[in-house]
Amino acid sequence: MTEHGPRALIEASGVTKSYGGKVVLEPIDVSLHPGQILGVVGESGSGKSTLGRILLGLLDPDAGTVRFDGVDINRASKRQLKEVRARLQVVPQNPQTSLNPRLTIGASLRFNMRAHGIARAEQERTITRLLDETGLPADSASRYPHEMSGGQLQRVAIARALSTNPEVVVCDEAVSALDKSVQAQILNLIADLQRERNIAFLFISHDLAVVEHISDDVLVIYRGELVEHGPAARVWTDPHHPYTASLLAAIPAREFLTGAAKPAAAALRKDPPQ
Amino acid sequence: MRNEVVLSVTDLTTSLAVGSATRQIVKGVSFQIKAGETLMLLGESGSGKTVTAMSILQLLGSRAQFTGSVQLGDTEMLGASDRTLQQIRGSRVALVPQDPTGALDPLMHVGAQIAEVLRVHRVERDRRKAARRAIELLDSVGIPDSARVARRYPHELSGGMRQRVAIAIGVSCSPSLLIADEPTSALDVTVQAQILNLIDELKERTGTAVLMVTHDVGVAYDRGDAIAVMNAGQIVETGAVREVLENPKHPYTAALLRAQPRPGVPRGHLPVIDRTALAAKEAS
Repeated sequence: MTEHGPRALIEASGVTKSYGGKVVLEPIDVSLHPGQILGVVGESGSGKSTLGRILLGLLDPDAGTVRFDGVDINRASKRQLKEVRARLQVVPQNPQTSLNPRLTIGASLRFNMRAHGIARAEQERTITRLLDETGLPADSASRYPHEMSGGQLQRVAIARALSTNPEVVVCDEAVSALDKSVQAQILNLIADLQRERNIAFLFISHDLAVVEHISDDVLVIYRGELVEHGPAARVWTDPHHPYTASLLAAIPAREFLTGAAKPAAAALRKDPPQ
Repeated sequence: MRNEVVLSVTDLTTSLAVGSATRQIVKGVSFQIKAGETLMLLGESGSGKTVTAMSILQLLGSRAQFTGSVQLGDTEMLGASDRTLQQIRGSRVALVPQDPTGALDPLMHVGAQIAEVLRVHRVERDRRKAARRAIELLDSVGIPDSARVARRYPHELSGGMRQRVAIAIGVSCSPSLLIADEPTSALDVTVQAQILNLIDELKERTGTAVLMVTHDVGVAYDRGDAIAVMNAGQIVETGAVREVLENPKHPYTAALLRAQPRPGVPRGHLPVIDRTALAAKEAS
């Protein structure tokens, strides 16, 4: 694994979840360190979003514990939980449905900050700074969600997550609905935030190429079970689990697009090179 | 049959009424597709790729205005009567939609939905024969236990299975052109590979021409014979898939390829498509 400081911000151990007798998450351990980008890869129904919701404290696990900076979030007091929530934010897949259509962007950002007790004067300063930091036009605060493009709305969702000055941001398929050109901008933004502010990200996605690019380490989940965990580059080039290998093999035109070694390249060349 | 031009689009423009104004979405595109060939229409959101496909099918309603020509076999689609279009759609040209859940009737068994198409297009007039043929079609798209699945409702099937059903409906009347609009964008990669294999197989078996609308450069490279890259309502580059994508001539195609996340590009340094610079280059 990539080396990080000894203190984990999120430490989940033995977390499980079932819905109506159907196991969606087998016992799983996850730790996330300050400034680490941890990718979680899986297909629909793999349990990756369930894991994300459990780590966010939005869903109680059936067994196991989730600690945020030492605080057991399933047994924390309301006060403790509120403090954790400011430090642990989320960027959802679809900002169109997660932003209130009747609030301006500025009002949405203020709403989140007010909920976490940030003073009025500071709210305005933060909005100006965040719009700049996330590459949004300065007049965005007075606009409504329907007046913005999908890529801009995803930046707003990131700005909203950043507004409470979090140490961890959970991104659940945060770039999946975006065009590749817009996706590249958002991935660059996430990388900048990690580098400049040492924010840790839990990056949940079905897209292995995106996860490989952005993450330090990767968890691969298959039918609720953690099948692989390792540094992103290793998982990409040398998958240990057959499921990971099949995911990689299913990426269309992987060799062409990513320059990954074609397994049969040597075998294809019948004549020795001159 | 092969090498026969199935679809010929010439100088197509499509304008849509937006509020009280009219906006030209497709700005003069031309391309041809031959029998047994897959043409990839590659572009990002708003490029006009889906509107181009819907223009071919004449599915944009009365708010749309067209110029140019869309020739399907010997039929001109632009300005064709509703009656003619109803006969052609589903039989000579069929659509595989992006979201099969929305395209299938939630209140009808999937077998009955296939049989209905067969009877409407008079491929099979007899009710029982149509039902039997529907099961054969489910078989042909790789659905196991097809007789039982025929009596299932769409919500009882997985996304991949629903897309197979939509494809079965698409190929039920042996169309000469199959239009697939982002047919795998909503599916997991492993299921995507199966569905793309299925479309390839059907094309091989029946010699139908395929027009596939996609935003995915990888899908285009892997599955296309020819490609037309669309940006801002125009085809900026067209040719054989490998030639175009391995050696892009147009800056937009090149920029789209560079924006793909890949190993070796340091995190935070993905090249971004600079639309202003592209537009300036275009103008000069």
